[in-house]
Amino acid sequence: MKRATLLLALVGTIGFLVAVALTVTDIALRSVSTLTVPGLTDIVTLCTMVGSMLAIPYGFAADQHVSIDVFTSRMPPSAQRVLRLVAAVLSFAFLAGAAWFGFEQMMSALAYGTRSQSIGIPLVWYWIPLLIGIGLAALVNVWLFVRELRSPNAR
Amino acid sequence: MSAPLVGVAGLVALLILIGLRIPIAIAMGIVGIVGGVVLNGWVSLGFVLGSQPYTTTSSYALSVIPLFVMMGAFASRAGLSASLYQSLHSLIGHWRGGLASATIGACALFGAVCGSSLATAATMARVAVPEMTEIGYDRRLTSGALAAGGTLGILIPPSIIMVIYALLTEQSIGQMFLAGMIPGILAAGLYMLAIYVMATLKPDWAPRTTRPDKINRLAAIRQMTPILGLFLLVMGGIYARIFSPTEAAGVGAFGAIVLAALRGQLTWQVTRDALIETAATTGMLFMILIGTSVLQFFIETSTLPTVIVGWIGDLGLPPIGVVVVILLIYVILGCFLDSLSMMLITLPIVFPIITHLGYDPIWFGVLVVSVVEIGLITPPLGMNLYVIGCRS
Repeated sequence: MKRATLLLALVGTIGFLVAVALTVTDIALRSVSTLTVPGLTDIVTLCTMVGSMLAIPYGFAADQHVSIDVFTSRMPPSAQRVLRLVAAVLSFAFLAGAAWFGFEQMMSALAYGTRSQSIGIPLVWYWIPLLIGIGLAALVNVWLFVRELRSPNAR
Repeated sequence: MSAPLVGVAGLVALLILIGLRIPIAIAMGIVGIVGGVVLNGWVSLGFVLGSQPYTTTSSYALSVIPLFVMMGAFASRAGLSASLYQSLHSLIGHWRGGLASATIGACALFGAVCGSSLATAATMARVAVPEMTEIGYDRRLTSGALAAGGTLGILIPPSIIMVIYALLTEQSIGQMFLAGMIPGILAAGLYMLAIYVMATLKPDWAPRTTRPDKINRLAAIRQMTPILGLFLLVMGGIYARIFSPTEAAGVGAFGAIVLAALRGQLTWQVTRDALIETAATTGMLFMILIGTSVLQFFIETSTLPTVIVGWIGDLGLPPIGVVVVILLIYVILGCFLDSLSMMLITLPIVFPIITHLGYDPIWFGVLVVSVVEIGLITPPLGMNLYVIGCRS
């Protein structure tokens, strides 16, 4: 799971590299001509969403999301295990809820055919990376929960 | 239970969840959702969970975050830190406590392209600790200089935490950066002064080295040129209004990649590591921003900030007294919470108070970032101390 989510996160960083390339191209173009990259803000926003959202599942799989263990590190291993299970359940509840209700909102955007302001990118395109990211992150938490139940020392 | 009391109960629950090692983003999200349902009924569940993550993350202004993170990730892997340290070693290493001062200077300059305290402390520790140890610097002075110097990464612009403060409070990122410049330089200068005093009082802690000849000093200045050039390009572009902060971040990321390539460091492994760091940091930051937006909705509907503003007014404290109390709370919280989370959890309550008292939000932002710095070197959660401990 960690490898798969890492691969997904790395694929997502292509979005960041595209954003860098387009931004530099736009600056270069407008400094030597009257040309610009059309819809730069729309495209860069989409690239940022792709890169950042696809990285969220990796954050859970690799335990990269910020948490404080100052107090729990002194607890007995069994208590720490219970807390990891609770963390996975709460994370799943929040992420699955966000994915579910987000999906409903995305279907509304699809029904209304809403588009971005400058070059008319369908807003659904912005929803897709968000829903993939948080949906997969919810599944990663199911995996973390099952892993913790089966082999508590697997971390 | 009244709405403000629900707000207080929510904040207590949040601190308990964070203390139980629930990821901070999730703790904020869960408290925000449960609190929202208690205050507004089930109808708020679908609205908040369905719309807040999208509204928060689909903003062009947020693009500045991954691009600055990418700039720092490539800069820290391009060998720039070693060059900086060697250059400053040649220029000021012969001063009393010169190597420790060179560490502070290198941290300040590296922080100026890196934007992260942890990355600055980790990178500089790798370079400075072996050299200072070999020359005979006391371990306490070495670690202290690195820990303090590392904190400059979030004060000297471009700083990720300043960007997030500016985005959340709807302030100008450029003005935040400009306002952070002088306090950052001042902090670096004062750290160097403290090292000078310490080295004077305890000369055996900081053995003096010989001054290199003029050729070596000129070579040292030349070595610093690329990193200074990158900093001037990014910050100069923002101040001269040639670029917006997001464009400057894009130019900075591009510049850092080009510098890494020119120095022959842009291997597949370096690129992969830098991209993984960019993804992991950005994913973590965006997840926290999603959690914050849900929590913020709950805090606002609880009317807790308004009640606190009224309560502070009734106390009759002078405005500066209120600021001092807030800063003391930050120092205490900094012992237990990481910098970003502490700022994000408290801002929905503290920011309305500050604006109500008539203080400038930019000024307060720099003040908060400066105080948050203290948390980075305060036990038991001084993250810089852990990073340096691992490297030394």
